[in-house]
Amino acid sequence: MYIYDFIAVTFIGISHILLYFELIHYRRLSYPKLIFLSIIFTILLGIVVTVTGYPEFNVIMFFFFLLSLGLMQIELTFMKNVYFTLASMVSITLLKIVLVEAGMTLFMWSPFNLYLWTNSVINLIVSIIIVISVWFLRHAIQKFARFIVESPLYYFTYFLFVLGLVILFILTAPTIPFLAALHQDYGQLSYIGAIILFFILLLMVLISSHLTKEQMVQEQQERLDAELLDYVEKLEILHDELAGFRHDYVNVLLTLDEGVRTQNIKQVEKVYYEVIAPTSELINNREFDIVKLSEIQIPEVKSILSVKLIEAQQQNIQVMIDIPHTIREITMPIVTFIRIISILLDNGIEETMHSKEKILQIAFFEMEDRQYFVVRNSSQHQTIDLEKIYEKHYSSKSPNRGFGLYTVKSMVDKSANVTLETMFEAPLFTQTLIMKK
Amino acid sequence: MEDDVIQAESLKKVVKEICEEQQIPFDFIEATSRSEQIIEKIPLTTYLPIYFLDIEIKNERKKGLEVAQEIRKYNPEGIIVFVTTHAEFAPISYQYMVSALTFIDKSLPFNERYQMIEKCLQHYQQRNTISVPTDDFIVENGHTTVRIPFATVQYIKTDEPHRLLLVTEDRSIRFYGKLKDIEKLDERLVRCHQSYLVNTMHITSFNARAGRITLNNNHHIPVSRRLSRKVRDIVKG
Repeated sequence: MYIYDFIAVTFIGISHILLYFELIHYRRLSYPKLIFLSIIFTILLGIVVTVTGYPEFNVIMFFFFLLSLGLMQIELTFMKNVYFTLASMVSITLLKIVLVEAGMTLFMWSPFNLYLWTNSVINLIVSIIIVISVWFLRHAIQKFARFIVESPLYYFTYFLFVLGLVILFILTAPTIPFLAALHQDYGQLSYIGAIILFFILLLMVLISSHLTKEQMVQEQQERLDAELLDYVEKLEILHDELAGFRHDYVNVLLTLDEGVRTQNIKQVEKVYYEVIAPTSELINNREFDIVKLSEIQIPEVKSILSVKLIEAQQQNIQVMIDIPHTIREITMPIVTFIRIISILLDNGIEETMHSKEKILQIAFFEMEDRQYFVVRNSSQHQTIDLEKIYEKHYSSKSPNRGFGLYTVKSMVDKSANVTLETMFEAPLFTQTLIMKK
Repeated sequence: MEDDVIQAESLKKVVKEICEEQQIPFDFIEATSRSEQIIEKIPLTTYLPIYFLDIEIKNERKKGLEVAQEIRKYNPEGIIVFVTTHAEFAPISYQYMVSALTFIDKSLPFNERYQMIEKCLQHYQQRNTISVPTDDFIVENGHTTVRIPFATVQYIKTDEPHRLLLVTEDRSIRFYGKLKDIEKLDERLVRCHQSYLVNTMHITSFNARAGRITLNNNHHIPVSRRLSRKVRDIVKG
């Protein structure tokens, strides 16, 4: 066995494990550790197969190895685990078969002589191509995995993968008499079957990746529509309030008119102090806060803040907005930022509504090389477990709403320059999002 | 500093009263509506000064904050207290930008306001008598700056790869970093588990059989077997 072969086999091992980890979205293992694990396992597998003389072990052991890695991932059901294990094994092996076949055919056409090591070199090149493509496609693979388990193609591809595994079994040149006989009779057929299967699977992947894209675009559109609707609704309510105010105002004017006409200064005074003077506070307060939003020069952020501000004010919450300086840019991806602050603000408003003090403060400012976004709200709780609120299924409200802060946490975790500080000094609960430039 | 002379004099009177009653030492008490006067007097102080600043000065929105920032330039350690009409709406950014001690609401009943001022002055006395060097725990890397009094840190754990969670009694901070780097920052932090660093100041007991540390707020921290001996030695002192 050439050293090329060993390297090729190791690369294939790495691609299997890498692909599998991307499929099940496993994050605990760093990449060097993953490579190390693959090398160890490949050596172990080589020893087992050589010593026992049963090439079947190759498939069986790898299958169970991947399956057991999947058990570490808690959210993964057993059926999905088997599915992804099969997917990783079958797709990589089929890809390898097809590429090697293509490579050999190309080589036959070329003017070079065929040597004993040619096969090994082609194997090596193919395995390098595979490992590199898995690496570069890893984000696409994650999206694909999330999509496929919920699409109608799931069961069909499940069947294809099982079929693929059977074919692989026959193709490994097994030594067990029964399988050996199958290999004898159907070896050639399986080989062709494998290649056909590869193209069917490729087609599946292309179809579903197309569907994934469509689905994402649709989701994005739906979210935008919902936000717009929300915004329009808020504007309508504001408009209604203003219309009501105008109506009242006309009445007030009429009364004043009456007072002025009859020179009744007492009546004018009365109307002024009782009706007009208080409205100035009302108008000022509202406008004051909306005006402060003009310090933000990012339209998306401004609109989400104004929607939330109006929403809070409608709940009779005293909102204080504190944006001392102009904000021109956000030092993190804008979509992520908006998703994070929407959740923080929604939680803040919801909690404030149930509290006694009904105070909500929002601050957004820059200091040195950092941006601070602060949401502070009064809370009805006496104590809050600051670690537990970030757990996946936790919610202080109702059981099916616990994803908010977990989502915030995972988005924060993905952005290196973001720090999230959570503080509770009864009754004030404060979330501070700090972004370093 | 206060633009309303009557309010300024009444505040001055209250401060003086409390100081005399509690025998809090001071160099001078100055009430003024002009910021230059404060800045000029900073070099004359022998004690760590306390400033009472009105946020809203003569229709200028940012005056109080600007003065505070000015003061911070010359006197980073001084205690700043803001006096305002609506303390519950005191801007959060002020607290961060000039690390203000607190906000006192002008509209509070006299008794409550008196108590708040008293509290501020007690804090002032404490800061002046026990000259504790500020023992802050600081993490500074390309992605984050975390600064917090060391005594409040209970433990730090790895949450996700390269993400740490720092926990104190009343706050939790999630930031970028590696436990390996944090471990070197302070000797009082001890690695008791692959993904936990614990502040030894907070340990009350260690149960080797259960493999966990109990903190003084009854929180449990896991201890790995490999590090068990080290932790035991530390707890024994």
